[in-house]
Amino acid sequence: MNFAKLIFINLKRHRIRSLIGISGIAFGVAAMLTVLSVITGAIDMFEDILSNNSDYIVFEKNVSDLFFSSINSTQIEKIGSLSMVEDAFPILFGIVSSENHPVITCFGINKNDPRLANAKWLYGSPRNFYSHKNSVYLGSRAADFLEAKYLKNIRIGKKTFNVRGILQLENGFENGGVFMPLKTAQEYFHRDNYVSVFMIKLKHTNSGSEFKKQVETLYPDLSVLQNKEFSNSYSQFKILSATSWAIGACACLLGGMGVANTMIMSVFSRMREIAILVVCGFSKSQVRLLIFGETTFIVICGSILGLIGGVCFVYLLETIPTLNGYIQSAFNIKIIVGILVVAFTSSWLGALYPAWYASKIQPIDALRYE
Amino acid sequence: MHCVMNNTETNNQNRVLEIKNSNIAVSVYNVWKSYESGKIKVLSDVNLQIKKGELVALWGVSGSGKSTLLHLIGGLDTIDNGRITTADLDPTNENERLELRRNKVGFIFQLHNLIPDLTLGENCLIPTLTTNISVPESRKRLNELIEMTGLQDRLHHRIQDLSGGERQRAAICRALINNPMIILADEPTGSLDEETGSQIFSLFKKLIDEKNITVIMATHERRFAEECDKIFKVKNGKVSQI
Repeated sequence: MNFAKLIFINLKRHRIRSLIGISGIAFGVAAMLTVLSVITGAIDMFEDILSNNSDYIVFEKNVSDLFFSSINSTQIEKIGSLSMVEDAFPILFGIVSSENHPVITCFGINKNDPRLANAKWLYGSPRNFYSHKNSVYLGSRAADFLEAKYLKNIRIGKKTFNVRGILQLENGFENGGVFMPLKTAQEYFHRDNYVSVFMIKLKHTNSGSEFKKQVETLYPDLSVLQNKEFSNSYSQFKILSATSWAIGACACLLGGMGVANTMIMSVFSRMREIAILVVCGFSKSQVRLLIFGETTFIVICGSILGLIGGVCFVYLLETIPTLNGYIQSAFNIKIIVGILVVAFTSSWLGALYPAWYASKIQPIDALRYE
Repeated sequence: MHCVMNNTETNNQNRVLEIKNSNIAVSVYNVWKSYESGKIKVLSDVNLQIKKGELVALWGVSGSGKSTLLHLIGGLDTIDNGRITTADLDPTNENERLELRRNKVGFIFQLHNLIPDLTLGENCLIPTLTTNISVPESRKRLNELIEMTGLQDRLHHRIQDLSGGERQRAAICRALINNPMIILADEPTGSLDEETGSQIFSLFKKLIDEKNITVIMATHERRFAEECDKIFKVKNGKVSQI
């Protein structure tokens, strides 16, 4: 006979009720994992776009979104010619639309952009990038959903483009995107001589602070951040991240409330049993431990099931053709620990009242009660 | 004020010393108990003393207050007024009450109050979870008690598979597992047939002989009360020795 046995007999006795409690936590954990891994994956994908073979990102100061950032050609030339710069890649971000697909990300880039060389070219060649007027290059997923064929024309917005290449890229956003030569994109978006961001690769990484200082002195209206700094400070990422944690935590809190309900029912249905334990010498803290023990077992089972369920669900989402590529889940230890902390905390908070109530049971009243 | 407090403390200390040095197991002084804010008076000015190793009956009809008195002695209920000392401990003090339940007193109820999902052996071992008794020691005690009560063949049986007499004997084993000095039995034979009731009562007598335990038994059955060392008659909340 041991203390754990007393915990398990009640869970075993009320299997359905225990399963409901476990399911509540499992759904909460799975929902939290899904939301967080999908959002974190999306942020990672966006970070990946910006950090492609570069150390620093230059963009317009105080813009709410990089899509609204504008750097003019004079600035680009001047920054690109700084002595510590090894390579520089301007990008003009834009949103294009086609029939049935109102939002497609467009990347206006130069021929030297590393993503062209790093991509697997299914059709066409990076050598021909820029070689044709009104040419467009599609990520393989974009080609799929736009039903575009190599060397055929497609309608994007009010203009017709000729598909001069289809690329397979690892990044889901890029693979679902449209690539245009920078000049074509500037013309299309009516932003002649402007780009959104300027990706910089330095000759020596230790010259970063000097680079930053020079650019900010030359152009006080521009921001220069290391890729990591940018990720940490970009408000859109922060909002996305905070929102996903909040939504996930709400899901877990609902699970915690389910556990609270399970435990309240558990205490009410075993008042006599608790009274017997008290008569046998159980202290208030031992009675509370009993309730918290049951709760902990429920939350452990629920968390394990929820994590497994969440991973399976996310992988299932990734296989859905319409979402293919947009969802690239990212699991990391911070997410797992965060979910477990929220799940355990909400469950233990939910067990506070039942545990307190159980510890207050007067044996004589409870023995008389049933 | 300070002087009065000192005098009270000295008197209490003297009383405690007096009880500790004496052969008294339970002392009840001027105890009053009522329910529903005094509307239902259950015990009125009860006084009694029970010596160690005695078999005592609290005898009376249903509703006379004998169970309430038993519960007050064991710290299961609270007194309105007066003073109770059980095994040198004050049942109204939370820490002492815990010590009382864990090591000094064993309870037996009319309806055995065993946990149905556990086996007989597991039920008997529940009180050992509240003390520092080692597993081998608790096993040894359990085997002794099971042998004494003749439940060897029922050790791994669930409660629902036991007869009424076996359940009550299991409750006795549970009450004795932590070697208490007092057993408080509330109508232990009340739900049993005559023969089984007699067997249980004989078991109490055997316990007193073998373990020198004090047994206080609330009963309405005169035949058992008459076989006890002392009978306290409980009637309309008053207690008198007969």
